[in-house]
Amino acid sequence: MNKRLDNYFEQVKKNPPLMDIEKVNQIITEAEIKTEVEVEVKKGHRNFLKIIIIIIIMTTLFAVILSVFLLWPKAPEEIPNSNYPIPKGILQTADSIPIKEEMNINPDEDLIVVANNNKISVSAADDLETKVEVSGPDVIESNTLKTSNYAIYNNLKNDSCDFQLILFDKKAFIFNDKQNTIWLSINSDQTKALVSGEYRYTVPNKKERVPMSFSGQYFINPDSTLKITNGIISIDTSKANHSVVYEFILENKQKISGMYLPKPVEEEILISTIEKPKIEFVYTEQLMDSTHFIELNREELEQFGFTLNDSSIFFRFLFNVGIQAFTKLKDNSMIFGVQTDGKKERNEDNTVSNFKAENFNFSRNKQDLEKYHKGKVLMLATDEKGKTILKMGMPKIRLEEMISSKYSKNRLTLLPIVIKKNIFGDQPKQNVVYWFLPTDQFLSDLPKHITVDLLNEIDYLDAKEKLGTEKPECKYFDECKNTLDVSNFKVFPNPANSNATVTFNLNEAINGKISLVDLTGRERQVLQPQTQFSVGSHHFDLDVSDVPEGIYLITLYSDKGIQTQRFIVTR
Amino acid sequence: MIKQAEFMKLYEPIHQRLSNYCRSMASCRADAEDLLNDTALAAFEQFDKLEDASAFAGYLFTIASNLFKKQIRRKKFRGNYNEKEALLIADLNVDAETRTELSLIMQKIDMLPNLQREALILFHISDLPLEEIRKIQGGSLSAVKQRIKRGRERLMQMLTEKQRQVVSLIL
Repeated sequence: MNKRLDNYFEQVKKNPPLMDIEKVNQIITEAEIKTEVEVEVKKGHRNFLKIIIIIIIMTTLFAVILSVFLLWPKAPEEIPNSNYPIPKGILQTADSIPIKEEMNINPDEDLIVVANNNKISVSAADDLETKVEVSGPDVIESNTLKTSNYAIYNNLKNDSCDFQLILFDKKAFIFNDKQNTIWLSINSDQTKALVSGEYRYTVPNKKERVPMSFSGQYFINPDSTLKITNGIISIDTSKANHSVVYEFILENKQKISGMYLPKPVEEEILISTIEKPKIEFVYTEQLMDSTHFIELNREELEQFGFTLNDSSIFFRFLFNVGIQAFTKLKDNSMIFGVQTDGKKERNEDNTVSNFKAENFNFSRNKQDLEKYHKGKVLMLATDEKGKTILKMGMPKIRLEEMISSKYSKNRLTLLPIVIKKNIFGDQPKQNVVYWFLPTDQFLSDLPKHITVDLLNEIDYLDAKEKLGTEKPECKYFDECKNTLDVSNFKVFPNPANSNATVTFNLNEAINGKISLVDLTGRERQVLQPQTQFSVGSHHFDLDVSDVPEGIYLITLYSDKGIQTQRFIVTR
Repeated sequence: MIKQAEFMKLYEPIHQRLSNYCRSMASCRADAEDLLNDTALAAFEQFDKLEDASAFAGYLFTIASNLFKKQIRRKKFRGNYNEKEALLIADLNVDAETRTELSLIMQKIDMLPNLQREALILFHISDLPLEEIRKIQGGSLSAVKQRIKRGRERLMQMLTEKQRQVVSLIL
């Protein structure tokens, strides 16, 4: 059986090859050429793909690098550098300066900064919400000053201080042998304030001015402060002994800059030898010489210049040279306004404030002076007891220029016109007294009989030899009523708020008393009971702290006559 | 071209045996020629990876074996008997009795399991050493021997049964 199989296998082996060897060779040759072509093509494809991939990768990388470069947060612009050289020999570091144990930042002691050695701590009153950031002391390199210590307070409850930045430099400097521990207080409605400063000081014994610029700090004298409140910058350099140049750049790019330059010592001496002309302002209360009010009826008031409406009393007058002003009295309040060149009116609710003409920059010249000399000048408005409703200040020299030549040149007084309560409808709500400067216009606009009486009284008072002059009726001036031979009857200070002194000289002995009397004639206080006064000078102290504000008369009643002096109590 | 020359130098001595293998394994002449063709091409393409020239025969038959298995998987069926017979015996210059005998054995060989059939063909027709067959078919050497032994025994058994059936019919 095995033989059959072996025979089979042998027979099968005898089969000729399926194909010639040459055919195989040919197939392989064709296949090789085809393969080489395919390989070349594949290689070409691969190279092309590689190039595309490389281009994509490179492009992506470039885009990433470019975007990173563009989007990278830029470093904040540097504030003016602090690399100005600091002269040796003048500057000392804090190491040699005793550190203040405690600095009261706020006068009200709301905030207290305590500096101990190298640590600075800040505490605040309990009612303040504070967020405090305090940096440690910085290094002062040999000749270079770097940023200072600072503390930032936020969320202060004080309405006027939303933000407070306090800079202080424990690494203090000494200029001119004075400790220059620095702190800066800024009150601002800005949430942030970028602070940069430049400091210049004069080298002792040299006129050279050395500039230094700092970032984030400000250099002024220890006792000087700089404040920014609602955009208004104020600097107190009253104690600064060196010049200060400052520049603050707020976050909204607003720049605030300025400088304080104290004069060199030599110049200060020169300036101090020249007396500056002093402008003396007159308190209008001092001019209320008359205690008897001028009463006018409605027609006379309108002729004088008052405009009487059912709801208000309007009066246009000359406030200052070249300035038209007006008052409008309605109910219990008085509105004051000024008008320049007939264009704009500026109203001020000035019921109590003191109004100084010099606060206004109105143009004045000689022509204006001549033109308005004759105007009516309202200086004061009070109630019947002398309590101020409206008052104005004006240089004394100008007032003297404006007083009528018919009036006494030595007598700077105001003449009162009263408008009685409810005289016109329901206005005014109270008796109101308008006090005028006795100008030509004022005297001419008054009813003639009043003007005549006034001038007669003035003439009588001015007459040196009163015995030879016919005595007028004395309606308006208390002094006119005086019959006692007293000289230098004075009260000072006048006005007074608590204490005053009365002095007078007697040429003959009298028996009398001294009283404080109000304008209604009621005796308010007996200053000196009935006493025998000898010849010579006398003086008494008055305590008017309990006396209500108003105009009073200090009257000396005697067996030989009376003497009265106006006296004003203010608070 | 050097590569081709080297390849052909090694291939030429084995060409006949590979051809017999393909002829024995394939179901028809076209498949056999394709198998031979594909084997030669694949062997040539991968020729660079062949490190030892002495292993060329095993390398070649391994490729042929793998390609044949792939071919079977693709076709899922074998060719009919006549094609197979024409493939193996048509070219032989033998008498009719021998042709019948060969055709019978060929028929029985095709009925053997693939591994046994391949082992028999590789051993007896392609004259490959047992070690080479082991490398082609995997497994151990004894397993290859068992396949050949069992293949022969099975084949002889099948041939004997046929003869008995013929005898019984005569009786």
